[in-house]
Amino acid sequence: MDKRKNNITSAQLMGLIVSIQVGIGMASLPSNLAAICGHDGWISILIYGIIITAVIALIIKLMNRYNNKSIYEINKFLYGRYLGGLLNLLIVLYLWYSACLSLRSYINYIHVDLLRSTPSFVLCVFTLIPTCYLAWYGLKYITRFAQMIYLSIGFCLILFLIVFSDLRLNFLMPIAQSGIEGIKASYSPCIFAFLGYEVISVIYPEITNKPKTMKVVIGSNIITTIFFVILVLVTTSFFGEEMLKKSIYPMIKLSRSYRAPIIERMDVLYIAVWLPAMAMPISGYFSVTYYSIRKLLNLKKKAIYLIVFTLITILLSNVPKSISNIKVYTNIMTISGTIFSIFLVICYLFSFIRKKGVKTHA
Amino acid sequence: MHKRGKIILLLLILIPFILCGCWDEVIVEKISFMTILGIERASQGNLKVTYGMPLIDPDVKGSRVELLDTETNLLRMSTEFLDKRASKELLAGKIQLLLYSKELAGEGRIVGINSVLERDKTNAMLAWIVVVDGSPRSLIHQAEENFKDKPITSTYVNSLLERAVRLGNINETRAFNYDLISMAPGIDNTTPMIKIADNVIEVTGLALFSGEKMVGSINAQDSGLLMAMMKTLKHKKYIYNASIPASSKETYSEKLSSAINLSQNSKKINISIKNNKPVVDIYLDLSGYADDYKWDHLNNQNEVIKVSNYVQEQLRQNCQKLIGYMQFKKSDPIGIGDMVRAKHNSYFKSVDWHTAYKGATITAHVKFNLIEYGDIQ
Repeated sequence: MDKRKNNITSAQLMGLIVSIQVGIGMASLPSNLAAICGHDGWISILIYGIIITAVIALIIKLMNRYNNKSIYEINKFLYGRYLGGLLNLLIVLYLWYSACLSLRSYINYIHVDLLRSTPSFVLCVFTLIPTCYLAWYGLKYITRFAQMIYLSIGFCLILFLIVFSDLRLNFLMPIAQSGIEGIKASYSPCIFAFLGYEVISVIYPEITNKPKTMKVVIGSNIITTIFFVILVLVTTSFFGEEMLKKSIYPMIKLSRSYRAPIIERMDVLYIAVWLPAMAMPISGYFSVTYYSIRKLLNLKKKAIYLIVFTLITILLSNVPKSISNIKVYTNIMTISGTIFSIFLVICYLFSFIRKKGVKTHA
Repeated sequence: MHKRGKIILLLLILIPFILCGCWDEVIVEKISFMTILGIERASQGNLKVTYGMPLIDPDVKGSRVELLDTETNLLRMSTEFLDKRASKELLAGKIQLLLYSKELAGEGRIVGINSVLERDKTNAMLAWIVVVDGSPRSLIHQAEENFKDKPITSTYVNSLLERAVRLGNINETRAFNYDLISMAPGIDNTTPMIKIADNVIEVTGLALFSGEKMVGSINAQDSGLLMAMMKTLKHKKYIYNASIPASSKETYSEKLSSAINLSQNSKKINISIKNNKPVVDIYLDLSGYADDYKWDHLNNQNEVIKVSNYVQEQLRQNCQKLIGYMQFKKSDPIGIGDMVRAKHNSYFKSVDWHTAYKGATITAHVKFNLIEYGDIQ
């Protein structure tokens, strides 16, 4: 493996994490939250954002305890060759599952909003062409492309600004009506939206300026949290919780509801700017999974494996057939992501007991 | 073959598939954009639908718009059916106006019919929702057949409505905000209302809704006052037709009235619950320019105060009367229910809002200042 092609800077890492988190998570987040905790979704996002930041801090602390090692090597230090190997396999499966589900969710979005009759298989192939192309060259190129997320977020913020006069703040009242129960119940959509930070445990050895990693990853989570809070506040105060509950993808509806001078239909511009951004979790998870497989199995002929890996991903992503089906698979991803995060925290605590591989001055 | 040659060949094969504009082109001359839809009640719960599509074919002489009528159970099915009759393929992405009959609005069917606009992304969610006093089909046909001195109906009505919004005579009600207000608890919709009269189409005012059903209407003059209470009168050119203090000798209308260009400074609504009933105080701060006033006295400060107080009392009375009418009709377009829901949520949950609204004590307090009176001593 050409090391330099996978080396990424801290700024690139920030873009990658924000792109994976924001990409597909934002599409249905406001309506999922409205269905669970009414107009208080923004409070849930804020609270879960803070919790996730604490988890990220612990993950980085775990990585810092080892000398340039990823979770795959750390597992072998902590749990031995066989149990560590099994855990590594589970992590790769989780990442692969996330890539397939991101692809499926993205294709579903295109089906609902754009190309209703185009077969999923065809859409999968065309969606994965640029991802494969970038993954072929390495993580560095994926993360460079991921910087485009800031353009998409910027466009969204402009859209929020121009609909500001149409917002009804009363739709957000009374604040905290759903109470603690609402916050607890909104666990699933919130965690799903924030997933993406866990890839840091896999790609950590490829980061060039590690001292900045903690600051950068927490920074990316703060960007995501702020963006999600604004998103939920704006969509809730624009549509009201009742209308929001009936919508699947409220952002596209918001863009359709604004009468823009000259261009007239804002949704066309929104689609053009957001479609690449929404595909970023696919490229993120896909490339990290491919990177993991190559690293663990020490593969050399990468063209053959990349093609095989792509074909299997396309086939697996076609397993969920409907929106309700995707929701079931999304819940599985949320639970798996939570287990993975808890596992990383446990690894951190366990590293104080079993100190094999730990840096001497850590 | 060299590696580079292979890549170029592969790209040449792939690119035509990626450029969807090449294989899925839409030639404007071969399609008909629906711009106006008239929907009214038909027998057995069905719909009478009229579609208007501007003709852009230079070969067709004498007609500006293709009109198609049908009776159907669903709006989408009418498009399907009329596609078999229309001269060109029908496209719904440019619909500007959805004209509903008063009867259909009274049955509360608008929001149900609108679902097709939300579900199918090719439809325009920015179409106006308009209630027609009379038959929308008749309005569209009459306008196209008789109003040769005016633009095509969709352009004509669209321009009328946009002007009426600027003049503070109606609220802007597009399909998306009609739908979301229909679903929001504690607030009711209003839509522009039009009718055909003496070879013109006229914006008559606003249709009032209670829940999903149309329950009444107000004229354009009262609509401006309603907008002031909704705080949407800011930056509008609303002209209020006011009576002015006059001596007993003055009998002509130009001596008894004044046209005042009202502008809104602020609005405040105080809500409390007393004896299990909402008590609402609406405070309006308005100012105005006397655009049309007799030749006397407005350089005199006392006279200005006298006129201001006189108009202020009229505005208060008109607002109070309007509130009384809306309460009687159980229509709450100001969104008092929404404010009660926000501030007194447990009370809101414990009552049927429209019934509580009817029994609420709502008082209008108006402050009015005449701030300018033109270049006349």
